[in-house]
Amino acid sequence: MDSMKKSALLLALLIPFAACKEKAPANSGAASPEANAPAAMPAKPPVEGELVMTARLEEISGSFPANDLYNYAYVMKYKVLQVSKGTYTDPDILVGHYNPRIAREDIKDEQDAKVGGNVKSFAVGDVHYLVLSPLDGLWTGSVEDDYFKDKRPRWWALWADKAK
Amino acid sequence: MRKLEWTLAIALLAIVAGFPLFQAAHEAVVDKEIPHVFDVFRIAPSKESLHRWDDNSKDRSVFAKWLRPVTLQFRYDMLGEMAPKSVKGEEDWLFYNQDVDYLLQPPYTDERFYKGTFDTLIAGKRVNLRNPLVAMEDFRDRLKARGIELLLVPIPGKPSIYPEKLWHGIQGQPPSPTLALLEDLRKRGFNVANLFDPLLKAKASGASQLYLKRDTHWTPQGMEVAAEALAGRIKEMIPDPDTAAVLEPRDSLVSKPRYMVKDTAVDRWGDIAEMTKVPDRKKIWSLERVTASQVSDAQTGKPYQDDPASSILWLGDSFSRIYQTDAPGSAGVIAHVAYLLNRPLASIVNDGGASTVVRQQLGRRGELLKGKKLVVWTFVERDLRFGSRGWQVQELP
Repeated sequence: MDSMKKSALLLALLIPFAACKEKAPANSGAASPEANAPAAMPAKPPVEGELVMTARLEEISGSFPANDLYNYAYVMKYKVLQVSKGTYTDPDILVGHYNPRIAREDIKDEQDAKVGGNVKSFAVGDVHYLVLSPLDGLWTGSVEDDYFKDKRPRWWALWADKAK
Repeated sequence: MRKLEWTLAIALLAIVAGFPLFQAAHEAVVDKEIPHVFDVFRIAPSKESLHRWDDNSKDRSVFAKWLRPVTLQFRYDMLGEMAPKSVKGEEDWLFYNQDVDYLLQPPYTDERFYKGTFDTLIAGKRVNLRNPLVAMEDFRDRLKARGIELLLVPIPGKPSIYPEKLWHGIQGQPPSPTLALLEDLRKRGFNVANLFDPLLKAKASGASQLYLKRDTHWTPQGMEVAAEALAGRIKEMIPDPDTAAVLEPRDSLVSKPRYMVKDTAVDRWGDIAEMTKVPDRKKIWSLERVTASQVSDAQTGKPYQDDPASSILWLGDSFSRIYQTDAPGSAGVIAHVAYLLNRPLASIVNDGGASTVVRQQLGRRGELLKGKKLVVWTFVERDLRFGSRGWQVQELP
């Protein structure tokens, strides 16, 4: 009887978790159809950039260092879902996010004007609305980039909203 | 008694469950997001993804965001203590914990240095990549195969030059483990540059302050001492120091100065002061005013610029970035070495990434190796122990 009570309690705890489960990341092999659907995009980008797109965060390689000594851009891989401005033909894109351990709206340093959006934290599987410009022209500081064998250009996220 | 037990148990459960529940409710109601706690059920579990989830939980915690600054300020006010990354020294000097730890903990020649690591098989040889010599030898040999020389330059951390500012009781100059490394490297046939001797000599001669009080880096004056020593070492390695004939034949007729320098004042806010995260830090410590010499083109007056086609490639970290891309710009060690050599350099600079990241970036920018005669690889000495991503062996493009 005791074990039944325990199981019932465990089930009761797990149901809400299961109900809240979001779409699976691409590399889990269980992506739901809606995961590939483009998220709603604002009619006009909130900032000017070379590329505007929705993309699903496909891979974060490694862990984000603490922001103790340096500010840095961390390069993450996205699967492109829909491009609404600019030309981009590859299925995925490498995007550098500035100090990803800090919520976009909490960035108040000298990069404030170059970083915006409502993303609070980065998790594989999240769909983001991104406004991008080439990283090389915008950021000369430290870059954490595990894709060093990939010679494609890196993009700087001027804006990152989490698609609802 | 039973009642007391229940009360304690419920109080404990309330504390354990209360914070995550409050956080989840805050994220759902205020941020209008699915609470972050549920992310753990939708990510593929791995060491890295769980670490990230854990870090995210700490970074997003409303309670921690409120409590952390209050606690830090209280600890500073009551105990003079700062966050674990900073060490308070004498006369308002601050030190970076890793700079101090590097001097105190066992060096790479001590077996304790390798505790918890394992060997790797590379090209049939069993090596431990914690040992920086493995990557250094590999990089030197890869460059040599292309006819490029390597100059290794460990940069002294602040406590190696100013130990008495850490604590007044320190007598004399405690030897940095880097001095033994330099000796070891020399025996193994490496080209090295010793910046300890010129910096300590400049300090002994009563030169201006060589490191910033509340920053991990050197002052422009310390940087200029290093630049002079390095330019001298580069000229030693290249047999014809007075003309560009060996370095850059196309410049062999250029004998007049290519650059000029102009002094400018810079106010620096120390990175160690910032690291303390003490809320009143800007009231406790002030900016440090230093005079830096900006290097500019003697003909056009434009600030110094790298030349990717230069025969010298510079790899470095924030010691190469400070004053160069930071304010005032074109006044860092790269510009000053270029000024002293009378020719521009090519460079790859990554804060905290001189041990491995700069070589990874070189892998993406292979064109930078074209026409190179010399690679100058600079890194702060603490990276021998704490280098970001360690000392990985890296292929050249």
